[in-house]
Amino acid sequence: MKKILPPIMLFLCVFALLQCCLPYTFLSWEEHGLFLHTPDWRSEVFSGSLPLVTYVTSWIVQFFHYPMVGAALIAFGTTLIFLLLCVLMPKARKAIWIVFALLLIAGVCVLGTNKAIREIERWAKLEHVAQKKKWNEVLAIATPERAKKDRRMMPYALLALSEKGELANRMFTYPILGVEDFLYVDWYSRESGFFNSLFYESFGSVNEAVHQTFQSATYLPHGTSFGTLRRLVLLYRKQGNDTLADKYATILNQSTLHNYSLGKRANVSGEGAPDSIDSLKQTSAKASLITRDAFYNVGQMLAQGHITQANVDRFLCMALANRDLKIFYRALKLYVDIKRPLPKHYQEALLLLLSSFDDSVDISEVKIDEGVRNAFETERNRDTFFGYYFSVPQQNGGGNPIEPSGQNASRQGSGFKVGS
Amino acid sequence: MPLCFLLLVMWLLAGCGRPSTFIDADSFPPIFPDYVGVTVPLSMQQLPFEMSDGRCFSVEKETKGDTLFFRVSAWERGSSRGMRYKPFPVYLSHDDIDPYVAYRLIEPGYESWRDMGIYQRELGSFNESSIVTNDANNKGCVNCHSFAGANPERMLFHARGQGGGTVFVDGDDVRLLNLAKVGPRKQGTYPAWHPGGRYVAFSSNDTHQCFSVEDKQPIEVYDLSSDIILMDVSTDSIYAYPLLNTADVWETFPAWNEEGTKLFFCAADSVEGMPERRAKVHYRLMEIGFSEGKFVGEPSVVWECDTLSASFPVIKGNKLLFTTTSHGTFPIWHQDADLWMLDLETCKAAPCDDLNSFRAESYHSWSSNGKWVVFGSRRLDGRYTRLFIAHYEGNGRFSKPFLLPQKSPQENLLRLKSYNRPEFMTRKSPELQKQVRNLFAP
Repeated sequence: MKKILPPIMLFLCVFALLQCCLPYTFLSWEEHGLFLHTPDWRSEVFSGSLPLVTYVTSWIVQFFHYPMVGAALIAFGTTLIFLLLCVLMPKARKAIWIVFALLLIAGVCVLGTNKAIREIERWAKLEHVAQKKKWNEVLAIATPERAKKDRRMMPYALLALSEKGELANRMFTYPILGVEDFLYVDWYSRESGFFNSLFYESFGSVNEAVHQTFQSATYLPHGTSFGTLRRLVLLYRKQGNDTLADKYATILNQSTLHNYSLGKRANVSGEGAPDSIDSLKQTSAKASLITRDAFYNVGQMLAQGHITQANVDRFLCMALANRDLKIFYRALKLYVDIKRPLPKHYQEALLLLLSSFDDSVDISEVKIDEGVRNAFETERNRDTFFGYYFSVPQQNGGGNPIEPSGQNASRQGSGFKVGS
Repeated sequence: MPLCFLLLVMWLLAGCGRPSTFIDADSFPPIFPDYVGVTVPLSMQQLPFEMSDGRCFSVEKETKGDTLFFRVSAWERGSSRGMRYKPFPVYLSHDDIDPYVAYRLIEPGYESWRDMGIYQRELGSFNESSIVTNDANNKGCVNCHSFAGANPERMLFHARGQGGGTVFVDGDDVRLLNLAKVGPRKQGTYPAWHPGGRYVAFSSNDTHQCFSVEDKQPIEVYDLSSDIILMDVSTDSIYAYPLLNTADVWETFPAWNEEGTKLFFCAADSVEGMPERRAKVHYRLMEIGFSEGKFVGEPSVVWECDTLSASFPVIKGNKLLFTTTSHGTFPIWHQDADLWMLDLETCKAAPCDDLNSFRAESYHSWSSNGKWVVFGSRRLDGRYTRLFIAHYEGNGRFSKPFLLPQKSPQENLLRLKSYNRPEFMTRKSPELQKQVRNLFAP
């Protein structure tokens, strides 16, 4: 019993440490990893450097889909090393035990307090909860204070607020600098592709969500990953493209853990007939195009009738972030019943519009809260629209989303250069 | 406990065990890939397949003259009764096929990529090997491989990225040339070797892509300008013939006739307001004379259609195979893209119904003897291009195309890369990875 206790203690301590400190990091390892029983994956691994190490670690990492299993595997490995050392050096058993105890204490200090490690864990958690659409948890991580220090959190916060229907009440409690805060403007990184995919999924464009997912995957070691493939299954199911959803599910099923049920197998494995040949043959050259300007893109979706509360709020709030009060007013009258109580930031914008003595503005039917009126006349804090309007310097960018012409769309970048 | 173990063993043994009784069916078996009634060359008789519904199966093969007959019996796992299908024929053709096909493997992706490469496949076996991958040019793009007379020892391809250009291979001589720094300073895109091997016609395209918000066609690739230039490989000089370099016409996809006396290409009137007005872009087939290293005369129209746009003309004898789509220049993203054949004697064009499917057919190439064609199609899933081969039967007709066989049929489904630009080769290409890596070494 005395001999068994130290390794058991070591296993439990390492397990508890990892489980407490790195659960989301483990999840993200699995998300970005890949292990498949396919000829292509095997030949890729065995033509690379350290093939055996890559093969074994990839096999192990797939179990990190369950962070407890990941923690248990590492704890088990550590315990094995401990036991091996004890067997090889029986006289130094006490010293080995002390070294491992010291390493454990160092581990607690480093994993628990090291800023870089905590930051990695926080971002892994943020990406995970955003993907799971746990918006309260997103907002608990992406707080206004943190967003001030790390502006990469802004798009997550604004996405969570719009999904919760709180964008028009709370947006300016965050350190907004412009409409660019809604999306990662730098499209060329794994992180930007990952977020932009979530944004465009919420926005209603599965095509663009798939595009961004592919972009994100090109930065991963195998050019794809478990996370990428799972997301493609989800997005194509959402789009009703079961052929491709089944294809990616079939590929995922070549791993050890995944076991997706497929649709009709004939659709996947044969030159099977599609649901509707006419719909497949359709090649519409009139479809709206994605530009690099999120404001323009949301405007297009609304103009085409994709009117959801989240998209309306997103559009109106982007207009406010862009200081485009005329567009805001026109869109408000078009998409929102102004006789009903309006969110705080809309009331603030209307007050500001009214004060500009614009005759075309009629807010007689709008109920402005007393608090908003007082804030406008006295405080104009930074967490209000007028605070933002008067205190934050104007950024570049933002087009005219209401009247997109071909020229306008091109200027905003609906085309992307191919080649070098 | 022993009983449980026995039951488990029995269940496992029952798995794919052959049932004792079979019902005869008066139909061919539903197999993947669909090899029922296809024509194959003598060198490609290995055709692995499986039941498309995943059932267990067994095959009896019988040869009668120039026809192979496969009698398939299939059954559900654990079932005591199976189905015996009508033997399906595979016709053997004595027309030779080139022993290798080269293609690029790349994710059917968007703006950026990770791994891609130009690969070759021996058609008489399942052996695939790389010619060059983008590890050689720091993950830049490698594309547009083209062989002089299907000879892999005299070829070119583009290797983009920092310090990139066009790689010319002539036996052991491998060199890199940035065409944009020579002569008229135009970059080369789609190449076509003159049959004599001294000249290469390139189109020079300013290519862009755009993405649709919600349409079934997620990507459109389009040009904002394109011209055709001619390179003399013996002197590395480049010539831009004024009539093929006009601003108001976009010229692209050069292709020589077999005699080398004519250059065929596609041309469209330039359109302002791209990509929004992309539906207005319709390419027609054109030709211009060529003699002693110079273009002769003016370009003339060979085929045009108000509602279709032509791309990828490839000529063998008087047969010009090309791709059509409703508009534009990049058919692989158009589900309506189909292969057409133009008879150069009668100038009559017709769709190749034997080859086309309800999804995109795109790049294609003739075998050296003009008896076989290999082409890319997205008919399996609408996204991943796979290679299909068909025998030319004459009079504009082809045999039923068959999917490039793989050792395991599942490989056709599991491979996460698309096959681009299939080109027949008369022999195996040497691996060029080291030489190309040296060209990009700092």
